[in-house]
Amino acid sequence: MENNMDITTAQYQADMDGNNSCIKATIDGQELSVPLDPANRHYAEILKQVEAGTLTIADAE
Amino acid sequence: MTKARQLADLGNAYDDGALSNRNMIINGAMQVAQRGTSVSSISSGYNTIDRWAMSFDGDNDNLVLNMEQSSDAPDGFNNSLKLTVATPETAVATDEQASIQYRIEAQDLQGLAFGTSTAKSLTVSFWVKSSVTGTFALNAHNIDANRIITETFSIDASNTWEYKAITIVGDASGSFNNDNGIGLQLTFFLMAGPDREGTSADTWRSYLKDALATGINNNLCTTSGATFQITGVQLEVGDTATPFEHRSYGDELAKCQRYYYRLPPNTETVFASLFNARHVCRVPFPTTMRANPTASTPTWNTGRYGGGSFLSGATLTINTTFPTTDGYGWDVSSSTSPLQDQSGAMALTTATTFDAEL
Repeated sequence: MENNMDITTAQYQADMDGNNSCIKATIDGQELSVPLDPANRHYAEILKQVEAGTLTIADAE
Repeated sequence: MTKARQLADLGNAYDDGALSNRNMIINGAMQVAQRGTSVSSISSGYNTIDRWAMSFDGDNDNLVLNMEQSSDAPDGFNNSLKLTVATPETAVATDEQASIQYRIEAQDLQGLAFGTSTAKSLTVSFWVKSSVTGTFALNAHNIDANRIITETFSIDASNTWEYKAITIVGDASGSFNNDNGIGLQLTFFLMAGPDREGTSADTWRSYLKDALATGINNNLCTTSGATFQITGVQLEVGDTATPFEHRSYGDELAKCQRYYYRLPPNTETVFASLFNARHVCRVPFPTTMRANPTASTPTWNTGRYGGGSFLSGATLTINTTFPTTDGYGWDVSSSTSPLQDQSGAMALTTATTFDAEL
């Protein structure tokens, strides 16, 4: 299966305790909040692209 | 069909354990389209009709397809998924393909007993109509075991609704995980390059790209203005196609919302003030979603918050989100500081979507 997602930005977002809680990403031109859930197809694709070296997730601000 | 034949088919369905809830396909009648009813120049993924995805590989030089939820359907149905070739492919080369896909959760396939000697057959039936005659390929892919089987069906007459039924034998060699990931993926190939149609695979075998669309032979995607429509898709246990199991719109919508949920504009959402200018907003889901969903970025009408005086005109910033399968929360800061512990409601200005699709 090919997902062919175009992910242009990805940045962790932290909760009030400073723990990463999700990733704010631009996917196919849309700003989305992606949960850190391996069963989520967007998160799985982000991890795949990070592993392939084509995407970097920025640290939370 | 005679009454005796119908009774025999019913008996077969009983033996296969599928007298009710026979259809394993959600939204097989293409009734639900939460994302919208028409999209031009579609891409891989989910475009319009719930649960039905498109897949494209390779460059597909210049192929452009439009997708819509059409009201043209065979008797007994009100909708179909319709694809129109807006710009045709010039030549179907290696690595290129266009297909419609449907994905089923692995935990919903346990009754098939795949991977055992009692693995059950499946029958997929559907109505199809195309302006182009020819042979199309359909494969079933056990994602967990990475095994496939490929069958074909033909469009015999152009622009005519035709009913098709294809039986897929059970697979004694590959089981499905008992989880919420993809178990089985059905792929209706509209177009496939020569690297996907070389090896015969009408029995289950280990995944082989060369066998994905064996037997496909049509000019749909190379014909400008060509159309392809499908509806009434049913996947059931057994080697007999029974009549389509119609479900109410409400039932289908609820099933679809396990995978995708759309909150429309003007939905009132409740905010609770935490401290200073920090708030939490949370919305419950009507159905437990398959996984923690991806959410679009909401915007709110601050002019109506708390009766109009609390955060009127404030600029809101989402600090982080709290996704769960049962609801979604946002941690939101405002440019003004209301009283601590004050709560209010605020309407969404645009639709907000939650995506837990396979």
